[in-house]
Amino acid sequence: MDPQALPWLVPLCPLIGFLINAFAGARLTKSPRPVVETGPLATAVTAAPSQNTGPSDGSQYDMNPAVIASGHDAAPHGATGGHGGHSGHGADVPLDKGGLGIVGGLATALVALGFVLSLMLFQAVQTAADHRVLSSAIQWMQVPSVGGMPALDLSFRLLVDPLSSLMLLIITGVGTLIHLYSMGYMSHDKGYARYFTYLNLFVFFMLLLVMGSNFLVMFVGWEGVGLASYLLIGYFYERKAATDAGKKAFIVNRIGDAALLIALFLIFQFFGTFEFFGAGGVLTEEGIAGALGNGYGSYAFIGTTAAVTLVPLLLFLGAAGKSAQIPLYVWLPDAMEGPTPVSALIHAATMVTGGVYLLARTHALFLMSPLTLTIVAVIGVTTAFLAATIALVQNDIKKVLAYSTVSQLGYMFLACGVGAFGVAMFHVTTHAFFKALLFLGAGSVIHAMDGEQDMRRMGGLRAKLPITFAAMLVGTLAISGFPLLAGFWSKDEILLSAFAGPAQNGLGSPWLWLAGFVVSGMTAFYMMRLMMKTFFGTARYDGATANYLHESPATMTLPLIVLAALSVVGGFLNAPAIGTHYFTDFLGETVGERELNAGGLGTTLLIASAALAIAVLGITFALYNRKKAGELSTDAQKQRNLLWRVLDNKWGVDQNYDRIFVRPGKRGAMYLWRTLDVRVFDGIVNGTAGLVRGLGEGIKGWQSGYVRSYALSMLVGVVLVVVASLIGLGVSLR
Amino acid sequence: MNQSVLTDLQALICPLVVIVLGMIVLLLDLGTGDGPARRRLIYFVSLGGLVAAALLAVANTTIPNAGVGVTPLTHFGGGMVADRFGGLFCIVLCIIAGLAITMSDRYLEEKSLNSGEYYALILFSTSGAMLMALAYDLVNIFVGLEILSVALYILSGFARRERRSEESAVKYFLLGSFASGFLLYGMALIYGAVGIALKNTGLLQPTGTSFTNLGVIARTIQESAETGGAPITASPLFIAGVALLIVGLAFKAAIVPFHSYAPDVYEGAPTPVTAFMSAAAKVGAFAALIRVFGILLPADNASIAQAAVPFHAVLWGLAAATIVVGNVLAIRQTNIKRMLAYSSIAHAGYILVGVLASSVPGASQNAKDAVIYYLFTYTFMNLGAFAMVIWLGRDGGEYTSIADYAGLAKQQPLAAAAMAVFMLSLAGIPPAAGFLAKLYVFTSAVQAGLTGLAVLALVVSVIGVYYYLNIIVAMYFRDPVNDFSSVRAGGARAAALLSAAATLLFGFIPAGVFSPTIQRDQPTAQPILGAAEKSPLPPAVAVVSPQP
Repeated sequence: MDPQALPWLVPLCPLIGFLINAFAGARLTKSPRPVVETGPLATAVTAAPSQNTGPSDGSQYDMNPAVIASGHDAAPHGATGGHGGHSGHGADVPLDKGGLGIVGGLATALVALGFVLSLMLFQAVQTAADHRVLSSAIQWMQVPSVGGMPALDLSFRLLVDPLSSLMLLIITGVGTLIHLYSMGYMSHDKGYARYFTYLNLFVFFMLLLVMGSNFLVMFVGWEGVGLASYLLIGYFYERKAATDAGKKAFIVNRIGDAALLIALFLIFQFFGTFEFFGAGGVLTEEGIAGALGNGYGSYAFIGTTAAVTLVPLLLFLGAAGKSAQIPLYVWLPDAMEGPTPVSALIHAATMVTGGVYLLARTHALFLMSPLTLTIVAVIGVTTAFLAATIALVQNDIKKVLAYSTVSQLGYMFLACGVGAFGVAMFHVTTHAFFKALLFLGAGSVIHAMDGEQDMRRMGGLRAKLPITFAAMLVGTLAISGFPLLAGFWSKDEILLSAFAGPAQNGLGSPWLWLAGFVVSGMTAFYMMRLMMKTFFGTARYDGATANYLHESPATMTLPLIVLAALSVVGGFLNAPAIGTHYFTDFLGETVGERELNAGGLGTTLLIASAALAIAVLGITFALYNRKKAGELSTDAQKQRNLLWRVLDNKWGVDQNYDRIFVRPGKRGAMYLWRTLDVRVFDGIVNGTAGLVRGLGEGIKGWQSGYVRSYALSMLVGVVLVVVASLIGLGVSLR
Repeated sequence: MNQSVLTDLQALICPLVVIVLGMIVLLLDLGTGDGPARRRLIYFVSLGGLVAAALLAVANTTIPNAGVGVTPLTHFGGGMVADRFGGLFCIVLCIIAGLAITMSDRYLEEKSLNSGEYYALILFSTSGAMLMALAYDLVNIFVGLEILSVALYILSGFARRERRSEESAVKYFLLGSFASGFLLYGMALIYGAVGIALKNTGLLQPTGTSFTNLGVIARTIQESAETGGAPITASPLFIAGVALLIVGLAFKAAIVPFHSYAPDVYEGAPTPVTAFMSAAAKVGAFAALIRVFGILLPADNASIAQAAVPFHAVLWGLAAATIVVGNVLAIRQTNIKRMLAYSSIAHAGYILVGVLASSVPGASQNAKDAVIYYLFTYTFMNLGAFAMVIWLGRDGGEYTSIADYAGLAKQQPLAAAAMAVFMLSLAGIPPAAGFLAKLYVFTSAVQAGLTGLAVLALVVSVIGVYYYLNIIVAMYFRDPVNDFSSVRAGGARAAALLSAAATLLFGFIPAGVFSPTIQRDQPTAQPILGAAEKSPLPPAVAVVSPQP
């Protein structure tokens, strides 16, 4: 096969799935609808023709107030009518089982095909020159140089190097498993085809994001995954909480995206290109040298700051939006309103690591600004700490995992901030395994309990859901840093880098290490707490749920088993302590990796981490094992505890954002609406519309329908043209 | 001699094939009866012939355009020319005719119209537009224009049992004849001006050529400027002649104020005919306009580069008026065919901006490329939009009111998506091809120093977004009022989907044969059209090798 065509095939797979399901999916999954009476042309159809899917017919599925009030605030099936007799909605819409298999199977198979192609590319990258496989370029638009700006020359091109090859394997590999899982998880949902349409769309854009050979293609993917994320968070659009969460995610991401866009403009101004590599590419030495000659280093911004700092800082702000870092992390916990497999794929394994990918990709720009790197490290470790503390007191099983994700992403940014981009990517990889596993496990629990997400109404599930329990236990141990599991190796490398920093860059600090170390302990606590509350102790659910409880089908448990296995062995890809460096060797120069300079300290820190993880896991187990009800203290005790109140209140961040930004923003918007918009803009618009209308009235007079008046207007035109030309001649001769 | 006749025929192979094809179609139709089998035969013979004609025209696109230092390869005594420019226009015209025929099948059946005559007329009309693009003599341009127009007059009234169709044919015929008169008068004035100049400069009239030959005119312009006397381009007779020439061609392209026939004719004519004429007539007119401008008002040649200056204000005004009037009146329309008529007027205005830019030294080449690219993409999005109207009709009728399309997305998602593509492309929103077309034309205008006009065109085109999005809003956000469960589909669906695919594809991959980028990529790229050539008269009849 033409090696230049191969990269194109990877994103093509999910795109085909998206197109097929978008146009044929709804028809395939629903039983034939009653034939609408066909009348003569322009007969009004009185009955609303669509009783099935489609965004506009939501009104007939009113929200069930009981579901909302009883605290099932993210119950997927409760609101959309899933299981058996538990809820009656949607029962009138029989789904075509064969059609479901086609739609879901097609979507899954195409992503799996993408995985096979990614493996081929993985192979090709290792033998390619410079370890880069470039696709053929599709020339898009060209704008000649105007007013001193460089000529704009945009083309679609894909690049596969070790960094993107790694992301490809994660996206398509974990993506396939989660697609497979979704076939079971969503099988009762009436929007089945819509779900897989969105999911394939997401995979397509995510692949574009990591495969773009220039900032343009990357940005298309970047915005595309934002769109897919918005659609999937708001998937249960009949619930206000879901649509609100979708909007919140979209708007918060806009802030980061605006910064990213400004960074891209600045890059274009100084580099004159959007290409990463190749002649004069942004990330090449010549490119950076050229930009420095072009004023990149001395660009004065409010007097002192240079563009070398400004550009990576803006890039980081964009990454902070996508990857849920302070100050833009608030959308991710709310994003749990989406279906659980979506949380696993988009809001744990892939999209939210897009920001880490961006930093790793543009590390050449970041390494020029130690100030920016320090900011990244501090924000990363602060986010990790803050999110971990909030996770300590959450009762919603998905919320615990959501804050855990924010916390783990903080770790990754900490690694980037000390210049250890390869280590960050390593944690991206292992985190994709165990966090997807944990989310899918949580989904399996939720599925088994017909939408229950509150851990206070769980307990003692390990006997009923043995496979789920075993898998989640592996995930818990892995994320907590239990020795030899995946999270142990990757987290340890982050802590080690935080302590010392890669050789000669001087970015590491024992304080960063200490903060990370404390977070590591908290991680072990909240994860063990989750396990204990869910799987141990006494059963706290009602009788109906007890009758309903069942282990999930094979399509759901198989991905759990595979991910559990990966969470066990994934860490050995790069375990320096036992002498494996496959991961570092593979990524190599693409992330500017250097040797760690911790010397003999490494072993000490490794043992400290292991000891901490084992100790906290053990103590937590012991504490909860004594309290069969799953609560360490009574509600009254909690309320008296100031720290608990602060954490339960999530440090007041959401309220303060609401108070400082949202409400003043709304007030300001109202004010602007009343003054500027109504008086000025509406005035202009209405005035223009009036003018246009008046103009139209005036000109309409010509359009009388009489040939004689048309001929007259032509004659007038002829006279005008001839006279004006002759005048023009006179003017030009003078 | 035989050799040169063969070469002549080879150079004009595309229009010749189309004309012969039209005759074959007429002959096929002569047999008794009008059964479905015969209809299908005629349908596919026409389409197959057009594909062949387009493929044959591809060979001509490798012939360098006339330009400074490049002698045009003229044929038939200098009256016709074969070059890349003409070849590209022939291909575009084949696509237009092909799409128009494709979308006509069920429409003709339902209206029980004779398909043989209809397809033959479309083909004859197409050949006329091709001749306009290949003509190297004002008289030949006129002949091409009349072949194009006469067939169109008949086609407008083809649904002769409908009063609207008859009315549109009569209106089109009367006003078209009126405009042809001006065109001919302009040619006569140019003839006179050239003759006088030749006499004054003491140049002998070359035997076998006429004062209307573009090569003769070009040389006269050049030499009258070089001999130090008053250049012909400064003669009022010549200026008035060119002005009237502009008028005649502007009518065909529906430029304000010569556009007034367009909405009535577009609305009344059978829908596939409307689709065809909204593109074919414009392509023919703009091809001739650019060809004539490149010769009469040469921007590429330094010594007479100022020749176009007297027309700048006129063209500026015409373009601005066309854009404003087209967009403003389109807003008010409730009938989709009328709306598209005004929209096509607005698009003629954008194209005219490119034509104007092509008469400015320095920007000329990019502007010509931009205009070709614009016409190419316009073909797909405009014919596609009309194909949608046919696709969604049935029982011999169409939904012509914009409100009729409410809720279409719920019943026919694919149709709604295709329509949305056309509307977004017409509005100039990326990644549809219409965006790049506008980008190229406006960029060339800025390069030509026409920043004011470019800004005006941009601002006014925002109005266009309103009425295009109006249809999308109706399709996606309104509740259905009509039942689209049984629609005409057939060839119209094929034409619409093909056009939608092309509109998207060329938005992503503009670097086809028509792309301006090709020209810039090749350092030795030939200008599409050029200035006056310095070859001795009559222009040599060269043996054309189709290889580059």
